[in-house]
Amino acid sequence: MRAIGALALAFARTTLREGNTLFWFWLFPLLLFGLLGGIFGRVERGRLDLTVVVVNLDRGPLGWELLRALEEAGLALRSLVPPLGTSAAPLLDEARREVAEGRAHAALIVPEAFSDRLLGGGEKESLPVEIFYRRGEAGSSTAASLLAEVLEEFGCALLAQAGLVRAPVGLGVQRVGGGAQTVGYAEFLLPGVLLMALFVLGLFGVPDVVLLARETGVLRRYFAAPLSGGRYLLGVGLGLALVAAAQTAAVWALGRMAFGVRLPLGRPASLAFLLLAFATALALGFLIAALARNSANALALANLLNLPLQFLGGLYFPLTGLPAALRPLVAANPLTHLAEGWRMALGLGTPTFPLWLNLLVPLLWIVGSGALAAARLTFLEDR
Amino acid sequence: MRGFAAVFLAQLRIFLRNPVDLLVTAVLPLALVLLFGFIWGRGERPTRVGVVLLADGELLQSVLAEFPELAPQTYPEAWALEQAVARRAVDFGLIWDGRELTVLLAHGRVQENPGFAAWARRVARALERRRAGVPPPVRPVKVHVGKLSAATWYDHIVPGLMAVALLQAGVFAVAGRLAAMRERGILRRLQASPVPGWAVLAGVGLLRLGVGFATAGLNLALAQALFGTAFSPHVGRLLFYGLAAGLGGMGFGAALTALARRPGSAATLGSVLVQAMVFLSGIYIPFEFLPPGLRAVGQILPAYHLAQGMRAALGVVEPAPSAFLAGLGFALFGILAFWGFGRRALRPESRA
Repeated sequence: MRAIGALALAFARTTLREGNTLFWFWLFPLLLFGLLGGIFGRVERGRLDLTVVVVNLDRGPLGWELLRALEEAGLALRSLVPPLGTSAAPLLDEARREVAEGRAHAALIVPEAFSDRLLGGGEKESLPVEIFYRRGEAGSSTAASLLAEVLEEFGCALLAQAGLVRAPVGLGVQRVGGGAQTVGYAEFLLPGVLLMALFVLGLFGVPDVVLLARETGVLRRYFAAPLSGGRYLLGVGLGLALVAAAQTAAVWALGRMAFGVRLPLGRPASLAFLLLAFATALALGFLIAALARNSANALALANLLNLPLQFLGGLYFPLTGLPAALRPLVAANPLTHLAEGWRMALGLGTPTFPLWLNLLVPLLWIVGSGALAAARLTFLEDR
Repeated sequence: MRGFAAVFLAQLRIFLRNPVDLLVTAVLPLALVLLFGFIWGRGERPTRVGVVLLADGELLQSVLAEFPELAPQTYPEAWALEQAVARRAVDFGLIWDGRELTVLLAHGRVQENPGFAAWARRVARALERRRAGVPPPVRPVKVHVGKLSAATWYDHIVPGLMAVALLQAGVFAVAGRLAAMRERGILRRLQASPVPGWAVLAGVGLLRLGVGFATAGLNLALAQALFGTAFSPHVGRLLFYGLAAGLGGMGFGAALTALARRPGSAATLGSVLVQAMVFLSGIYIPFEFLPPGLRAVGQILPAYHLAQGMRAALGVVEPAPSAFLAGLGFALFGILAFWGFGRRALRPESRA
């Protein structure tokens, strides 16, 4: 028992001493959580720093009122007004260039007849108002959508003021598929980052302690001592569990302190998924160690698996609208089921797969990988 | 010249035999292009809205027909719609009782829910107008003024990934391969042979640069063949930004090798710093999403300007002088730093 404990501590200490493992096992999960949580948490709160050019060709009061409404919507405005008696064409060209060359996210062209048409009333056709933007660019598309929404709201407010719309439609919001609380991005992200950390630990840590230790003769020397293969694996497994527990605690603490995340990680169902994730990560690590000829091959295989597993597992963003070709991969990915099941256990959403499948798929990976590793893996280098 | 050819061919064989090198410089960038392509490469799809019509259903249906961006699906009961929203069979739900509109949003769709709520507000306003029998006073008309006729977020990602492929190839040519050759004493042994020192450095550097160009080219070909991207490449600009990324990457690798104690550390540091640069340069995440502080950092990083330059070279954005100057500066830094690395590594008294 002392040997197992000593091995576990030695493994955990080594991960802190090696630059590579120190970064990927300890620092990277915290950095990723901090960066993604900070960036998308800000996007979630609608703080996007969008710059909009407004060419106001209107000579009446409504053009200015529209500008005020845009400022209230939080857009940074650059207003262009042509001097009296001059052509609007140079300003329109300038607005187009500002957007096309990326200096502004979008431009709104308030037409000459804006006030006259809207105050005159009785028009059967809507007044078209142009918005310049760059399709496909997130900031530009968001700015254009915001402009369109403010413009429509502005028009509706005018109709209400004129007494044309007498029966307003009430709008209620209901959230479904989770607990009663509103889920923030940091809450959604935290289980995803923890799963990523566990899988990086398993995929890269296990081949290191089996293949690299075998190649460098470390295992041969261990086994010259009264230490069996089983006890060695137990010690290493315990070491990995220590690192995983510390990672979980560190990410949880960062979530709580930086983003105010309060997730009930200690719930029995949550703990069950955490353990299942740890076992799956270890099993996949052993699978790689069993399939690779040497540690360099194992590193390549782990890298090859790591990113697709993460991206197709919905760790960082909800998976929606994927093409049919990718759906079987998503369904076979253990991370998809672990992320869904764990989030359900934490009250963060309803899984798209049934609970039994969210348990079965990781279990199948554990059994399959374990069986293959047991059949193929050797601890001593071939002579 | 024969010496250079021999080194080049030997390095090619070594590269093809080393699974980690092959993976990091060639396979992974291609895997990312495929992965992002499947997620974002198919253009914008309509937003799927589930609808339950408790009263005055025709009114809501006629309003929804005003919005071609919405694809409505009718559900018989509220609980069936709740299930569909929760399990993401539809993007959001609307329950209309003739007086009030209730929007159903799924927990967990934290990024998209504000957009869905905005759609619900637009539908509610349109219902009010329809009921009053008045047309909307204003009609927003979006006019695309960007470079491509059908640009998507994927069109911005592909050039960024091409720049990253070339940058990584350059960094790992020096921080990975040459640094390891120096530590193992291979460079010293090669100096004892009739092969000139420059031939060794050029052989390794050009091979890795070639791999970078091949990967970037494959990225482009895959994006066009599989996801129908419609780039208008400018060969001169592509070559310029490609060389700037590769040469600058080599210089960056040389600087890291000078800083790191062991070649393994240089490669690890290179991998970490390249990923950090990519993250802060608007290659994976739209630049506008970054907080002002990170945007300021991103704008001084070469990866940001190289990605913008590559986008300009492929006709996705307008060419900008800042990207050209940054590319030129990074390439010159790369040449100088690589030359400095070569002088140190090939010095006769070098203990490497």
